[in-house]
Amino acid sequence: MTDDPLTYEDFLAIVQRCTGVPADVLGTEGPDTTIEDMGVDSLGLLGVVTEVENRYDVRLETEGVTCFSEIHALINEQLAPAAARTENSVVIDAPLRLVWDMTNDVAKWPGLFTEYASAEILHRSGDTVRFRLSLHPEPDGKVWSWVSERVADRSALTVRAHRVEPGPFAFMNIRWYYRQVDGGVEMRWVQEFHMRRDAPIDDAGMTERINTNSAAQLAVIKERVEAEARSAAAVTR
Amino acid sequence: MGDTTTARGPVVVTGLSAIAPGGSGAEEFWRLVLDGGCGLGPVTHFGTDGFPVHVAGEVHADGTLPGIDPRLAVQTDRWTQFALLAGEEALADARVGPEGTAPYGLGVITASSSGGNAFGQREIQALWSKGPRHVGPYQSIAWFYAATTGQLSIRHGMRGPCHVAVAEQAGGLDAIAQARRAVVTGDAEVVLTGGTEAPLSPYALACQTTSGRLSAGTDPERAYTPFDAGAAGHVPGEGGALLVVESRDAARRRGVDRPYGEIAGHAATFDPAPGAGPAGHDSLRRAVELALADARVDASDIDMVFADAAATPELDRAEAACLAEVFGAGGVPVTAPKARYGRLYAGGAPLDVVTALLALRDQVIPPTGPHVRADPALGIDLVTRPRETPLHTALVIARGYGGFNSALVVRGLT
Repeated sequence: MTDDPLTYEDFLAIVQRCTGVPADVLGTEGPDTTIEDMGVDSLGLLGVVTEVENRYDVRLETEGVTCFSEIHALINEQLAPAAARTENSVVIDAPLRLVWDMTNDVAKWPGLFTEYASAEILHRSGDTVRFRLSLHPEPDGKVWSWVSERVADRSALTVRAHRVEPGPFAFMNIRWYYRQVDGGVEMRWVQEFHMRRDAPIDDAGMTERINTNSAAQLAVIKERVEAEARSAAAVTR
Repeated sequence: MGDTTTARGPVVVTGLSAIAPGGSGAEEFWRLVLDGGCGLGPVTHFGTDGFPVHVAGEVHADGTLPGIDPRLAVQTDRWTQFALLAGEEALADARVGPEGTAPYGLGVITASSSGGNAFGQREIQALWSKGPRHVGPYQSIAWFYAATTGQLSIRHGMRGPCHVAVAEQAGGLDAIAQARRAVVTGDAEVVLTGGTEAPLSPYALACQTTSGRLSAGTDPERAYTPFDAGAAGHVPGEGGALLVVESRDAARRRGVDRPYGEIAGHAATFDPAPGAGPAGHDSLRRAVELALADARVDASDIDMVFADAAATPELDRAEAACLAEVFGAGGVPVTAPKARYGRLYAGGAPLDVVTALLALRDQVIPPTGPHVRADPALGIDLVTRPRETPLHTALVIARGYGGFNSALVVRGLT
């Protein structure tokens, strides 16, 4: 996985919010267009830098920077080496189409995973879906909730996702890979992330938590998809 | 009292604008005023629970201002955005463009009574809820009183005299007087002047309530009734106006042969501290008398008065008494169109000046509104229906909370 920790699109959304430069201008101007030529003054630049520093928990040295694309590169230079990585997989004994369809139906995730209390679809455009996930409340009543965006590529059997509101994460990027193997369909989850310094848990702690939780969720998903495959097969017979 | 005209003729107004509740653009606003249309309504910008005010004059219910470049929108308060829109209109009306006058001959002198309220509140909220690193850098330029003058200066390349007057409602007249002074002294050829205000946000309204002068009325038709026996405070509103002023000869040189009128006289006074001098309306009367003297006119030359119209019994009595002493009881038609769209603080008096100039143009006194019946005890001739009559000279009065009095005389050009 070689995704930038922060995509250029997400970065431009921050630029637009802080400077007011319209999205169509940001989208049509080449990456070499200078910040000044976009009509942004030094205070606008400072606003972007501070927002990025706050949100991604980085410190940027922007002396001499003239283009927004350079700032984007600076952010990723800092974030990428810091990334922690987890990888978990399971083989599901079910047809590929059923595995793909069930595991990508975000609205029904609360019935597929045991950890989600709700999944609210916020926006859908082509293969891209933006949604809010909420976990079941913790014993003290706290409900973790965040917004993610997923792009499903059926032909490549790959899904790319990232947290839009990173919360305690500086960033969180996720890839799911599907492939046909002996005994069924392998679904592999790869996550790259980095925790903010002010998060209640560090990278090592989160790695352990994701590995434990992924194993449990993958087992439940395997069981539920295989059960569905069996009942579908029974109906067909 | 210095010279009031230049070697190049009197100081005249060549461009008008209006941003007002119920109607923006000078002509649309003028029609609303003549029709006595009501620009007041329930506050929609924010919830007024806990505030003693529920009716206001809002410019746009949805809070967005079309025509503002989003790059400017992120760095300006609503009050500055009003001025950017008004400035475009006034400069276009005066046909002042980027070429012609040297940049250092172009000035900007505006009034502001409370600065960038909503912008400042938002950033202070970020400070206290998220921390100091979450205060946006544009806070440094957006909240303070001179921000509007600065943004207008940058936008139009006007590098001459740039000032801001802060004197609550009276500041709007003081700014126009300062613009006249800059033209008289030759410091500026052309000045964009006037004022705007955006006082309808929670923090801004909280500040205003301390005056105890706001109307608690809930019926927009009856909430603001100056000089009425039932007067119970003013309704706040947002908006204002900018005007273009220059010498008559400079205007002619630019091909503007029919200016709206002349800024003929002005004076400003300050009330004595409570207990330190005679209470009542002496300072206000002095401002009026000095303004008439500055314009070299007698009281009998004034054809109509745009009143301050505070709409509290005590302040209405003081203003009526002042007018009776200068003009005689019922001696001059008095109007207060603001009763239909609200008191706009620094934006209010410039809008009154725009209204006065359009009244001179069309020879009709605009009404205070059909909803007001003057208390006979006040002895003023309050205009409540449009009144067609020969008009040549008008007096505009503005009092600012805190002791400010200002009076300005505008005259038609013959």
